[in-house]
Amino acid sequence: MPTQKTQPEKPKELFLFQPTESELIMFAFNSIKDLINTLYKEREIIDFLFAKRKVSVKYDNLLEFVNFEEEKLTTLLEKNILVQFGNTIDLNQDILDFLEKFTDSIEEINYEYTSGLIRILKENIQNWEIEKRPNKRNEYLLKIKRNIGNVGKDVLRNVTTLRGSVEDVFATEKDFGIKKSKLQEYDNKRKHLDDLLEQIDAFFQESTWGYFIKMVQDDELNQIILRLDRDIIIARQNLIDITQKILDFINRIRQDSQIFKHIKKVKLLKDQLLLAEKSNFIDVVLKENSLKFQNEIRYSTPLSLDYIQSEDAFEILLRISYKLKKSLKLDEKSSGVIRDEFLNKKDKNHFVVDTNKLKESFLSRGGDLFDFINNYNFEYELTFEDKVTLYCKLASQFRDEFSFSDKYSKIRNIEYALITPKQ
Amino acid sequence: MIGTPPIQTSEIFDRLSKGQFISEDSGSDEVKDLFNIIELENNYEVLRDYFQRIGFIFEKGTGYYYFSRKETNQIIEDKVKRAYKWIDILDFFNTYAKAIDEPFTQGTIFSPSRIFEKSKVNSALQEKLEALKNYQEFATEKPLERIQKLSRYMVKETFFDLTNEYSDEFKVLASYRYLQKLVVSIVIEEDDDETFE
Repeated sequence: MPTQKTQPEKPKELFLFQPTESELIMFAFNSIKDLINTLYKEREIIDFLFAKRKVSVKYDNLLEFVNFEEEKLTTLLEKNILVQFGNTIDLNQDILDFLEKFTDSIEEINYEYTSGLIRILKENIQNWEIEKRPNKRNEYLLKIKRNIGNVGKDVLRNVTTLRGSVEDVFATEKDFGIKKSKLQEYDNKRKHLDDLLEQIDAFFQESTWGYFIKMVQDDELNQIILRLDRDIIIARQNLIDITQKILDFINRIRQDSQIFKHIKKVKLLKDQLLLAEKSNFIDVVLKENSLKFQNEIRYSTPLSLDYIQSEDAFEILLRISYKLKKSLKLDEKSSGVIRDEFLNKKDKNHFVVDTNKLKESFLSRGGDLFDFINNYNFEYELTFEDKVTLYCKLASQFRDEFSFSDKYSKIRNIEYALITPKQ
Repeated sequence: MIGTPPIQTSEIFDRLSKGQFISEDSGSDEVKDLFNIIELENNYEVLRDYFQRIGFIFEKGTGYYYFSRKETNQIIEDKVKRAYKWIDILDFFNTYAKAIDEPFTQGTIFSPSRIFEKSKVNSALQEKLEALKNYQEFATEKPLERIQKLSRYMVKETFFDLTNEYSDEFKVLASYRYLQKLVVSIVIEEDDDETFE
């Protein structure tokens, strides 16, 4: 909210706490170090007063807090860190502002804040009216200015935070339950703010206030009120927006629950097969012509003859023709039944000699290869020719492991070389 | 007609003529772009006139667009069947919503496994899940798979988005309101005892 930043806050504080002559003399620190040291030394008091900044602290109470070390308070008053109004004592507004801004401590606006503010204002106005001494009167006036001056700032800060929180929850909170409860909480805060603005309005309408304003005739007070009015307008505009957002959400929930109930009823009737009879279902369906209720639309358009004859189309045509060829199916006639006579019904076993095994056994036994094969006990009867073939096969397959001699032997009418295992 | 249709008209037509919706909250950048183009200046009016000339009614809902057509020769039984299916689907997700006490509407994010877990402890939901078997599209013996099939079907029909394939998360889109609106438009004869507020 830029308006909040641009408002001339600084002059207000200076004006509000225009130091009296004595204060000017007493406001004396040698250096920043000195100031900070003093603040640090008296941090307990400052913390106490900061925590109670919204209620008036009586001088006597503070005296009790510091165990009646009165000189402590006197020094702080002299150094203008504490300010005394009649019987009450406060932190210097500048220090208060500094602490508030720096710690970002926002005065939470709730029922207590509102009722407290109005009560204090009324009290001070009453005191101002009763009091006759000008000095004292001025103190009460200052208090009133201060109370009202703070309200605008507090309200705007609260509105800004609230707005941020609401927007944040809308954008980021996924869990519905948390979102709902958070928004309800924010809605409560919004109500408190609304309530405060209402009460301030009402208070300003009261005759006591009108009378007081007329009697005081104070320019500074008028300025403060003007600024508050402006702050309230800004706050109101923002609050309307925030309310709208929260209401939207709540309405949506209500609407959803209505939809929910209706769907349940429709489903029930549908299951009871009463839907068409007890509702305008058929009418609704008849009138509903969205494409969800229609068959898919398919378009088949003939090719443009002009396009086919163009250069662009040539490549496409080539591709299509290639595809067509690829997927070409030959129309094959099925062949007839295979006649029985073509099927040899006998079992066909093909006996194969394991040459490797044969070689191993020859190598271990030794002797003459042909003789070995000739006398070997095969699982299957082998003819002489088969044995000759096997002999040749082994001789050529494992010639590295055999030694071939120059001697020949003869069996039947075949002359063969004597082959023995290599030594 | 004031103005010419945008250059994306053909893309818009392609989607809508397939019976798809163009929703504002679609996860697809392409769809979102099309939505924004329709919303731009007087594009909607221009497109509406344009599509009307070729026999389509360019319908506008809150956050979604779709096509309808007048004078179709769709048989009524077929339309009733389709409406029944949507009612069953809406009722199924509603039952789930009731089970977890949260609304099921635009923006809702769910995962089939969560619905399945809930169906184990909620007999109403389980019953409805079982009944979905009757639809050929979701017919499977495994319940979890059935919910997955249903969810993916809704994505195909552009009512949901699959937002996270890894964790199987779906988001309900603005177009889902079309279905809700459709069912809400069915006016039930008032019984004496209760009224629909």
